Amino acid sequence: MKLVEKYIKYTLILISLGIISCSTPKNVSFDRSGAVEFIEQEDPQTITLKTSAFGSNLAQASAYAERNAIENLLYKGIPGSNQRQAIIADEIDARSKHGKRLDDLVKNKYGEYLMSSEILYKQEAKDGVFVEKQVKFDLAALRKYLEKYEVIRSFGY
Amino acid sequence: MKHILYLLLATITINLQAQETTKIQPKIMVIPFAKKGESLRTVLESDGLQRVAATKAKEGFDSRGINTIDLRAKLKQVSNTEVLAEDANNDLKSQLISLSGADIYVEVEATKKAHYKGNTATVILTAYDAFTGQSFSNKVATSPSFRTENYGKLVEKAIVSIIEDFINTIQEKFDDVVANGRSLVVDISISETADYDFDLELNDGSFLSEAVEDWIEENAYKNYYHIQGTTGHKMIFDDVKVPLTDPKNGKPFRINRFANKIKRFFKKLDIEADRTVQGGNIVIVLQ
Repeated sequence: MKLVEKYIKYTLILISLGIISCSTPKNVSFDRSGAVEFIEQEDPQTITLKTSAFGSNLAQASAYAERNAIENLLYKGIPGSNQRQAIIADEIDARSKHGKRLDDLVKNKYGEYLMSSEILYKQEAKDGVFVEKQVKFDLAALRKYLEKYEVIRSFGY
Repeated sequence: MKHILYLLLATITINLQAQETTKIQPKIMVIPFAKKGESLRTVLESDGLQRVAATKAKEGFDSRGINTIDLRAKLKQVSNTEVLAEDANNDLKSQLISLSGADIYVEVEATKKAHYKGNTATVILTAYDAFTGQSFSNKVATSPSFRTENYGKLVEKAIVSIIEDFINTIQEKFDDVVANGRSLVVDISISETADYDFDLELNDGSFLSEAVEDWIEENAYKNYYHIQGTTGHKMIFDDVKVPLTDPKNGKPFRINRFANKIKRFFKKLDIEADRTVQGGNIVIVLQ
């Protein structure tokens, strides 16, 4: 009986250790970075960028990288490109008036303006995945969307 | 109950109309750069490179949904006027701009450079306020180097690399206009037949020039104005800010009304004033 109890105890310990070591990594939250580089602009209405991000898995890292690119385009501008100025001049003001719409845009809707997205490099780490991507956006359509909902003003006064 | 509902609906409708702001898209004309003594028409018709540059720049505006005034059509219109002197090439540009009704004109200059390692084209884009001459945007770009004689293609590459940034910079200036007002030029002169000048002493002891400057300061948007110069017979305010929209009704601010206000100011001083308004230029002649 004592042997059986010992056997059950050690088995339970082994199972617990197994569960702990196989547990999913902590969820990584999105953190905007300036790691967005201009690649090319085939025509004035599109822009190709290199972007990177870290996520808990490949899918999350990939989504974060795309979000990083769109947020830099919207709020910071891309040095060395034809879109040096941010599309949205005042992020704080825009968020206060159109927070819900902008939030939806950078998390979900941006896909409608993403013409292509290609993984250039990925590196798996203990607690997640780092990914570098090349993304191409349709600037004209993105601008039209923002103008339609008066997030930005159309050309003029 | 029905009456209350109708009243509420009417109130909401009136409020919505009052809040509606009118968007103003300025008129833009793209012109090739012409040196002193050079005719715009000659540049456009004889220099293919300038034609390509002007067309690509115009395309950049068109693709953003920005309407532009057609230069060729305006050139034709200007050539039909009797005002134009054939050899006054510099006047042609001013005449063209003022007759076109353009609020902003964009000058495009393209140059080519041959090199044994590869040819390049350089483009300079400059946007000016048609009335005040203020610069809205300036960009210069050089194409990548290619072993080609197709300079038109090189010009195209140069323009594509800067046109969006160029237009975005113009838009930034518009944002500044919305916040700080648009610029007018107010030119006040005294007729040669008048028997007084700007040193005329008024009833309150001030000089006429002082009274005029005080009035401009009081009526300029956020009290901003700049005086270019004053003589005994002329006062030029080369930058007087006025709001973009009338604060009373939210409609576009009417420059003609401002000019009439100036006229009424002089009438109170028992001075007759003739006024001419052309776009953002107000010319007042005191009799």
